[in-house]
Amino acid sequence: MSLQKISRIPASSLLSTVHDIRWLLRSVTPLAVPNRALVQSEYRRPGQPREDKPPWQKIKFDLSKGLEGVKKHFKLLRQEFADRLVGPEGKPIIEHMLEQNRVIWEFRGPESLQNWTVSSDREIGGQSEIYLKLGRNNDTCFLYGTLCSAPPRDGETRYSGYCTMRSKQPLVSFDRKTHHDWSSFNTLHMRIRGDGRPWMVNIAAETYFSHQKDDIYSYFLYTRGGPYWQDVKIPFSKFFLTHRGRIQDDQHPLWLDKINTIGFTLGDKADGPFQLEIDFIGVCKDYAHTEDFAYEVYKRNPEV
Amino acid sequence: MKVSRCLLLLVRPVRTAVQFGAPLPGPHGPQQAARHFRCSPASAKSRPVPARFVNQDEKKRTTSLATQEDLFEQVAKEAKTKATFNEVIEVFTKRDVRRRGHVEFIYTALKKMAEFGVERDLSVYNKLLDVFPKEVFVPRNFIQRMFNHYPRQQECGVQILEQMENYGIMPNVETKVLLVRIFGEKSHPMRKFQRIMYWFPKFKHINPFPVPQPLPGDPVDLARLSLKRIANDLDAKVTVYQLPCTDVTESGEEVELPHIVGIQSAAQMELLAKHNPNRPVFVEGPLPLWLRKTCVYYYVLRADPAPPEEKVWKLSAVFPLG
Repeated sequence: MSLQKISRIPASSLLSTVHDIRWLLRSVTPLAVPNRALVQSEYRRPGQPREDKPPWQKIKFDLSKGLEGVKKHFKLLRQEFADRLVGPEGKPIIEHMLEQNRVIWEFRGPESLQNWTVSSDREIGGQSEIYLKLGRNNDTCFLYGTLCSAPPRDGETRYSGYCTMRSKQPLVSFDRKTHHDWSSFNTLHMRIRGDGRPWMVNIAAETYFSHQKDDIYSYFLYTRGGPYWQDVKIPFSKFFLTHRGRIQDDQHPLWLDKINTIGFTLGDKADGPFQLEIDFIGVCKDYAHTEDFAYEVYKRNPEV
Repeated sequence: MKVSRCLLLLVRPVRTAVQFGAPLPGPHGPQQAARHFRCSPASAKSRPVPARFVNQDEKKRTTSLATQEDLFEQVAKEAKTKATFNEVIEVFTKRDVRRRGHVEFIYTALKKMAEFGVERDLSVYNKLLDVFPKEVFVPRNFIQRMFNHYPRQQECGVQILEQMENYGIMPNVETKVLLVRIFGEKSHPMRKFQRIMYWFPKFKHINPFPVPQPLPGDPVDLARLSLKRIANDLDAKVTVYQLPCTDVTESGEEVELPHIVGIQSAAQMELLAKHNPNRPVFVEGPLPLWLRKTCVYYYVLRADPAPPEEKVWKLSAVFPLG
């Protein structure tokens, strides 16, 4: 892998090899007008000019990717090989087969917050705020902020007012993407304490085509509010397919073998402060739940 | 479609006579020949117009730019009610049988609905859909069907339905009949209508903690409702300690005292009975509770859990707490 080769070269001689890289990339012409129809790159805030930097200008030679990073990644790689000798996902096979409940995210220390990203409509010019911190006793995660549904005045955006928390994609050694495998489970189990607002749980699975990049499976999460904890169990058969927030006509059940991220979104058009406390998020196998999918899969709308 | 046409015949006999070019005598006597509805209206000025809109004709003769918002602004000076909003729509529809500028008018009307307080009224949306001229935008051959016939009007129809969807209003059969008459059966607004009719009933009752619509107006009732909601116990009892009243203080000022409502379940009473008086209790708050768009604040009386040495273990059946 090319990344390994660069990390073995000492930092001082990295800069001297820049002209070699340029020679290699000379054959690749930078795109004058990016082909937006097929590949949708990172989000462009409405009203901002499109940036067309050639790919060789985007490489950053960071000295912080030093020896510590190399040590950490090799340790993870060694752990991976050891896990394979024990069984699937580092557990003995009998445990993997008989597993009924698994806690995926548990907020028991400040390092557990590193797995989560928060964002709000501030990125598109709105005025909502969202913050994430550890709850009382360092035992839970506390998501709080203010929601403001005034749309940004850029002439393009019509609706606004959302706040979201999303988990990061799980990574193995050398920052390679991996997925959650929940194929032996069928229910999402969370212990939360909300303030009565309706949230939305979004699960993003691994997709193949670039058009499917914003495909998310969602379901509603209604909180009761109050000081008591609320156990929420949502079967995966209830999740419906949406693309960029719009529910789709052709529905199919969520495939659990390659899950990338899970997220919580608030967008209930009620301006004001909000808070959500999460104790843990896990998956469980409910033998009593036999439903495959909650929505019709056959072609409903007649052909045009 | 025959049903809707019959309805129209009953309601507006003049219009349909003009539409079909039928040899029925017009309102001005049998001398006037029957006109097709696509011709300019000859008798526009003879139709009665409410007095406040009379200067519109004079405005047209000047060269200043008149926007669709002017109609609404004129009416807004008096009162912003459903009746005045309907009046504005009627003035626009009666002004011109071809409904020139109806797309801009509908977009403006959609924006002004919130000001007039009619954004949750289905009859107003149906009246707004009625502004579209009927049967003009229905595709009549395969080329028109292929090429997104009248895209701006279709987008406008979709925006009306989208505003209805945003406010959670379920359309009814009148909306469907109007959409079919205006855009045809396989158009974008009709598709959006089908999607709303498919998904809304599925998600109407999935809230395990439904909030009553409308919320009680009395603050004490609202407090009672929200406390019962968060108590997590159906046997919990609500006590009203203080009703809202005005009190006269020593200096003679009038102070408004708020209401104090509390709830306590049997398990909480037991915990309080077992609590050691040497240990402190805390009043925590104000904590927010949202009921749709209103936020109420509540306080909690709590204590720290007893340390292990003070716990008294009783020999009794242990029930698993849910």
